[in-house]
Amino acid sequence: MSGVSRRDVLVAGAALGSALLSGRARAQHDHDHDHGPEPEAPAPAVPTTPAPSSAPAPPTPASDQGGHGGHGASGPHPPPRRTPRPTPPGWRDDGTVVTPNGARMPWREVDGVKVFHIVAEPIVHTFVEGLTVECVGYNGRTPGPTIEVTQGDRCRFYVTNRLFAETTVHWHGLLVPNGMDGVGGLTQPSIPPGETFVYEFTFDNAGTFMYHAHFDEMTQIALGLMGMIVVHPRRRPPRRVRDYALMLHEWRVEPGAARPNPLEMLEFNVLTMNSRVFPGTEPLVAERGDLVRVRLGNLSVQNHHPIHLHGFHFQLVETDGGPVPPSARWPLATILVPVGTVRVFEFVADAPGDWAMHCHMLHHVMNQMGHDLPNMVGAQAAAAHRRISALVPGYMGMGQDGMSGMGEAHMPVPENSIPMKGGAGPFGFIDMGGMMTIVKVRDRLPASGDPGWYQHPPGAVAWAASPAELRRDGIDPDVQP
Amino acid sequence: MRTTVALMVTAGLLGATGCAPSRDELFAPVREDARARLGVAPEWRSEGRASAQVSEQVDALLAEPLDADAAARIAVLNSPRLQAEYARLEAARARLLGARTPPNPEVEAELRFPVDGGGGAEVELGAMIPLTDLLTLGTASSAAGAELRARQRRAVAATLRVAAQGRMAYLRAAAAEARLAVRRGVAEAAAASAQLAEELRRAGNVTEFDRLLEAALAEDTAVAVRAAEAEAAAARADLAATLGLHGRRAELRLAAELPAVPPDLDPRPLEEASVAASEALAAARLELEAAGARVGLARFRSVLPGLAVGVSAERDEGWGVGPAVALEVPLFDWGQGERAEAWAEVRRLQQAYAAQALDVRAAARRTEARLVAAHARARRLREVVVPLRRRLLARGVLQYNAMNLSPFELLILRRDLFEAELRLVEATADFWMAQAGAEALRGGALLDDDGRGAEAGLERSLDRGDHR
Repeated sequence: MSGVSRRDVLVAGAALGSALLSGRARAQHDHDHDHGPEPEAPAPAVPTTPAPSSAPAPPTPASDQGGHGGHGASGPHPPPRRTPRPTPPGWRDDGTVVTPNGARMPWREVDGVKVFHIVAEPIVHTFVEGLTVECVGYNGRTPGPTIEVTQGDRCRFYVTNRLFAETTVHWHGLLVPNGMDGVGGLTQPSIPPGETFVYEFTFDNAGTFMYHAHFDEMTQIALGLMGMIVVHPRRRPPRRVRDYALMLHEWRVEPGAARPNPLEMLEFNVLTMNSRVFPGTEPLVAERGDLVRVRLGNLSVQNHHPIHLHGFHFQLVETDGGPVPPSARWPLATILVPVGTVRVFEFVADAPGDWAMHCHMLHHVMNQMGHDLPNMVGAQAAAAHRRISALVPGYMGMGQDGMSGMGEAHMPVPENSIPMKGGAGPFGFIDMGGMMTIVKVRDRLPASGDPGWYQHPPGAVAWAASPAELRRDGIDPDVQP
Repeated sequence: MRTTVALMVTAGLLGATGCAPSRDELFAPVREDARARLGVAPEWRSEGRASAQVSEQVDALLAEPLDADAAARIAVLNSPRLQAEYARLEAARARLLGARTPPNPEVEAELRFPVDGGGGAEVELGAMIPLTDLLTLGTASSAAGAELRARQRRAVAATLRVAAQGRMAYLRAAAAEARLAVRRGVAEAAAASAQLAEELRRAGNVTEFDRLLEAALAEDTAVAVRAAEAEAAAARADLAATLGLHGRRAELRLAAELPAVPPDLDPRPLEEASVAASEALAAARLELEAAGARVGLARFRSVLPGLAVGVSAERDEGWGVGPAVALEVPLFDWGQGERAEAWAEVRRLQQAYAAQALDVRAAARRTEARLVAAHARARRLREVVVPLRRRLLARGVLQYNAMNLSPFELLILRRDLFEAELRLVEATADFWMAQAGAEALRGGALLDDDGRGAEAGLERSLDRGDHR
């Protein structure tokens, strides 16, 4: 168990003190920028723009910035980009695939070739209001803008490296000439910082794919260098589809820190869809009767994710290897997306409502949960808590009711952190976070924007049982153990 | 008769070579120096108890929680050790009076009755005055006078020393109290930790091993409290003794906190000031003067030992009167022993003087080093270290709220804060102890690091009762 078992090393003497405490916390970069008197930071009300007011000043890092393999550009680093790169004038960015919380990669046509510009650079990114970090992205975003093309398109990608280390771009799942594959050192020299390389190939296969860095992947992918690719077939069925792309990912950000730790291997505490956490995830919307297609990519560092959709059965229709024949389409309510794969499913939105869609690994639907609290469930610890409160100003006992109420407790937490943050729902506080979003199905959707919460028909919401009902059905709620 | 009368008049005249100082004249410089430096005027008690006035002053000081200044004042007003020092003034004064007193004449009378035959009784009368002693009266009293002035200087130093000892005893007691409070706090934190572990064990959430680990640590800290209680009680007892208090008056209340270390140190160099002010050195100079006078005495007596003159009368048929002279003949003892001893004493006092000067300088340098170090430590602890630990604890609570830290780890942070606060108290006490030593040095008194007087062995031993 956590906490108490550390005492054995502390028995040796007072001098050891807290030096060995929360070893994990001290092994990370703790960018605990202190601005004068103790910031009591309740869930802050900051605007949801990507330019965060609570972002820390960009550090001038002296330590290993290039991960394990990069020879970083020496000299002062430019500050990270705070806003996504806009579409340059004259470039196109139309398409049909919606990337919630994201965007589409713009292009221009030059002599029949679609030309794209991908800039790999340090950025400032907000997971949800209250948690903003410095990481890396493509064109000012993580995930990078979705590349949406049609089978047969010849494309030219200019990749500018504004990172602190060498990088490449690999086209995950795409069948490209070996020299365009993007494996640094194997199929090409890595792109040095400051330089622009060109990839050129034709998208011969339709499907859903991904693009990501393939040099020092542990660092660069962990810090956000990834994006989705959709290649539409030449002949598209005329059916209207609500087409969504979601990139799954996991991060480790110490509460109070301002940079994810790319060295984390086991304990991730920020789980994202399109690099956002609930309640910061944009809902997927559909009108009743729509065919909904959800393309899931998983470039998590270590973990597969079983994505469970409430309210519907769906079918696996495509992987990054291509379409699944109809007779082979697995019927599912939960789809496992292993690391490094793409899974596409479809369903008909025939049931109206607000339907949760989330990873079913239970720790992946909590925001920045710490695991150093001892298990307090079942312990009568009020007296001990009072005693500790007398010694430690601001201390409150917690945990005896499990995690319920933690997100609403408004306890002061380190700045720039969202431990156990959940979302406000129509029926109360939703104590979930992380890798979760909501699929909103309505009879009629508004022209744009969030449709709001589902208005349930009367009698359709689970209600508190009345005494008459209990009597009528012979239910004794006071059943003794 | 006429001669006798004349001699007695002479003796009287010789005796009245200026007045010996009165008790009050003798004590006034000691009292005024103390009043100027310490804000309190000691009294020189002729009987065992303190006067009503002094008792009132002491009671008034005891009515408030004690601080270092109050302790210094009470010590000066109340310490029997200080009164014992002052009593030596009386002895020195008595010795001066004795040195000034002319020697007693010797009177002899003989009566002889005829055993056979007739005739009247024979009468022999004689009266002699020891002339040597008379002639050396001036030198002897000048030596005794120098020694009295030396004793006065030592009384001033003793007063300062007792005041400083009072301060230091208070600081030791206050530091011991603070140490006890910290040990209690640390024990409380460990007990809270152990109680939480107990509850978790009861709920089945942790192992018996974890519970025992916490319990063992809590017990260790509880034992440390007992030890600290004993030390605090001992320091209080020492304080009461230093202040001359016992019984109910010895139940002292100490001020809640030591005053903070001042922002700057006294820039005046301590070593030269200490040497210039040193009462011990001044006293030693006077005692050297006295020893020199005694060399003269020894020399004079070796030339003219035991000369007495007087008058003699005899009745044998008729009265016969005439002068008488007695002389000690320096045949075997021509004063070589006495002179050698007197010279040896001079040389001893010279070397002791040099040694004392070195001691004063060394004490000043030591005290200054200690002052500077304690000052820097106390300031750093107060301005940086303790606030840092407090902030660390507050930050720890935020991390605990984020479930990144357990309550056990929070309590360890709290313990670390306690320990830092204790280090601050000890550095502060250390500073004020050194400061008390420095103030005593500037006033002319010398203490060693433990506050004891460091002038033993220097003074001329007057216990032989030799007042010639």
